[in-house]
Amino acid sequence: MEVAFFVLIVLTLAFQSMAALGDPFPGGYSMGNLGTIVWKRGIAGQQPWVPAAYVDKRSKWGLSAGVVSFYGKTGNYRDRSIYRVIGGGWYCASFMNFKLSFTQLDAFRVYYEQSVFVSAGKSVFSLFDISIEVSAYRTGLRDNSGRVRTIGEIGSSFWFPLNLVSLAVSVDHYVIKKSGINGADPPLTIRAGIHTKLNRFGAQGVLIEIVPEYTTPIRLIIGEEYRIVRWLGIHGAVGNNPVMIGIGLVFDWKRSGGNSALVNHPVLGWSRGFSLYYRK
Amino acid sequence: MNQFFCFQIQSLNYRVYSLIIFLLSITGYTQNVIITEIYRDPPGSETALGGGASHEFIEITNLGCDTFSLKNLLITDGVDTDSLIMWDNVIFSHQECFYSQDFLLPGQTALILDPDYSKAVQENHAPPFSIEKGTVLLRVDDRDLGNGLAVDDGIVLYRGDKKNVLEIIANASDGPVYLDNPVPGKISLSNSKNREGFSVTPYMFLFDSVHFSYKIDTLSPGKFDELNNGLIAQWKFCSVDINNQQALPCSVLCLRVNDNAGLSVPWCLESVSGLETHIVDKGIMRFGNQKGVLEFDLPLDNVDYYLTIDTNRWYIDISSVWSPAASIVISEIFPKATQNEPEWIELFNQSSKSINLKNWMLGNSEDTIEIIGRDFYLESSQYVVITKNTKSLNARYLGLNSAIEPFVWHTLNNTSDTIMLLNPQSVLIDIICYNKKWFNSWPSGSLERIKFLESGCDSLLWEPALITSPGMPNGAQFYRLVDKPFFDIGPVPFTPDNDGKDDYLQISLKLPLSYSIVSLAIFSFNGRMVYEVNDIKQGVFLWNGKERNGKPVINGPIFVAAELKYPKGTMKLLKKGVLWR
Repeated sequence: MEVAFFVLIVLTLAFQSMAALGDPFPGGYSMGNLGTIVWKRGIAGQQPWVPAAYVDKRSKWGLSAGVVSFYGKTGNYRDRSIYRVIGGGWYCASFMNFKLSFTQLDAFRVYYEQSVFVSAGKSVFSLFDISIEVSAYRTGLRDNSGRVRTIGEIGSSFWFPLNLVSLAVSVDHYVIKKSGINGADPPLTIRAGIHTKLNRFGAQGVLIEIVPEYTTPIRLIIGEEYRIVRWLGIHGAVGNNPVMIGIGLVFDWKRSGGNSALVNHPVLGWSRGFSLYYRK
Repeated sequence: MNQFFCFQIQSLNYRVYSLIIFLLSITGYTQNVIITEIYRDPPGSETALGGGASHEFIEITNLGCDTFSLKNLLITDGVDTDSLIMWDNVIFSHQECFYSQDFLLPGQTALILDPDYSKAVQENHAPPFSIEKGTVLLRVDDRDLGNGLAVDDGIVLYRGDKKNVLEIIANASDGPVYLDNPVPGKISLSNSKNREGFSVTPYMFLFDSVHFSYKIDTLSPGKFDELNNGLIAQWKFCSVDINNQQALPCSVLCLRVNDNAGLSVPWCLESVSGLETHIVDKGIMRFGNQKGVLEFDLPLDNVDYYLTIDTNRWYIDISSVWSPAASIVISEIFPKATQNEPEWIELFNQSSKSINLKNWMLGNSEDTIEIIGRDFYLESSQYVVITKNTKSLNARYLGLNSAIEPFVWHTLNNTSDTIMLLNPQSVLIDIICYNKKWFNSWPSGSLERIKFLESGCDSLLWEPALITSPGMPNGAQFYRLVDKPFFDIGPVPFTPDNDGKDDYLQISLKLPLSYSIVSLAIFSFNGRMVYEVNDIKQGVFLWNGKERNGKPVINGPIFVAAELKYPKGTMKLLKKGVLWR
């Protein structure tokens, strides 16, 4: 029971796949806290679009889907939004865990992105979990010009659970198959974070994101998640560069759950997201 | 004796008044032959062959009705006297001139050239100017014409010899000349400031003694421009209080060359506004002793007037004494001179009539300058640029077709100043102000006036130009005179791949006068501001898809956001697009 409780309260923060090339925040459960807090045994760790290092082995498999609508209305293409749908599943075999997800971004019927995310992870000596991820992206224009770009990435995640906090470092967007076009490939991103175990004030996390290519390369995000009751919680986060504020509502009910979140950008407006999962 | 009386004009009977004018006018111009053009200062070194003094000339025209003998004629500048002789050898490319003719027919012109002129033509393998066909060519019996004409030399044409003046034929001098001795001392013609490459020509000689001014356009040796199919018409306006009158009384004197008979010809005065023409007055003009007189009133209206006598037509310019209020406005200014671009002020004629800028003034209460001392007609809806240096400005703007360089320049302040435009009667026509504090950013370039019909000292009516446009319409007028904010981007998608197509994102911003821009920025899909426009100007801004540090922005959706300030607060405008390479 004590071990189970420990596993329950250990929070992880590590490689957070954005499941997209340049999304402003992660989708699904992590949207409201801007990816600062990942519950391994909650839906955050089980999301098919985060690495397989994080999976709740009490479930054999699970499915999840979500949608994000980005930013507010603009003066042009007013009735067309930018949205991403995400979906996928995970499977826990005796020797390894697997995750597979698909995403599709549509930008007002002018531009699209499609991605496939595959991750395989394993627990090592019960000390840490490791996984390897491969992502493939296909982007293009919907103008019948046939203009398409493909990009391939590889990544790895390490999770180090400690007694009171979790530490993590990851490297994202390490491109192995370049588009061949200057400016079309995503910039290398380094993330480092720490967050506490659950305490009377909830869980608190800090995430530092570094993109060396940017003029102002460092981004700082502070997040909080608080469980009102065991099955219902709220979470939120504030980040800079760019400034964003996220809030969300999460719930778990038996074998299913979901979340609804809002993220505000002071200029670009509100983004809305919703996701559901089912596990067996 | 040549005073022109206009007093009590309103009370006099028209016929009586005309008679008085006629009687007075016939005592005015009395010379049959006059000096009609003097070219004293050709470009280049004075001693250069193929330039300088070898290109000097004096033109005389017989305006009488009798043939004029060219024998025993001399010219003097008061210091040196030269006999005039026929040009004996045919000059290359002037074969159609007359060389051995010792008389001038009525209306015919003779040209007194420097003896080195033919050598100069041979040296250059081309004549420096064309000479009107049928011109009688003369030269002096000395090495140089007038021993080389100085820029302020006056000339007297007389009959006699080198020691005695028997008869003064014509003179070009600052005042009347009475000579017994041909070399009493220098005779000056200096009332016009010298301009190299320009000649001087007489004007208004039918009314009074002959006055000279610089010619508006190019040289016209052998052709007296005032002579139009054997007619010369000149007019004067009465000096009355035009502020309290609806019409401007005008008197016209007409000289008919080669006709001493008392002819009558029809005349007609028309007003022209755009494509509309109306007859203002018409009648029959009677000539006596070569001269005829006309009297009519010109309604003070925003129109152009044309006088037709017989088959000849003249433009009657009243802008020297009256111009519509705010007829000419200061439309664009360039106070911040650079090494390649001098200061300049652009004027725009927003009236429907041509306006003569002669003797108009620019400046402020402490210092004003004359824009131009000769006739310069600014046509309706046309621009002219007044600049410190036309040569530099023309080199900077190759398409610039109308620029004036005043003799003296009124230096503009780089940060704030007031500029007034005054007509020849010193009536304030326009006043503008500028102050760099009015603008968020004005690093360089010109300031454009947005509205011409409102005060030129309203800070909202000036805008740093997106594209400096001397002599052309102001871009700000197009993007500021809108009822509500206009904000747009395109193309979508835009593809900055240097293939020549859709390589730039065009951001168009047009704001009403009460609006101003607080910020204009471009955001990438991840919400990061990738480009902020520092030098914010309205109009069109082009973005090349790169950040300020030159790094290309990643493919995907992008956003352009403008924050505006208006009297009730602030507002944000947001547009989205797609960047694709």
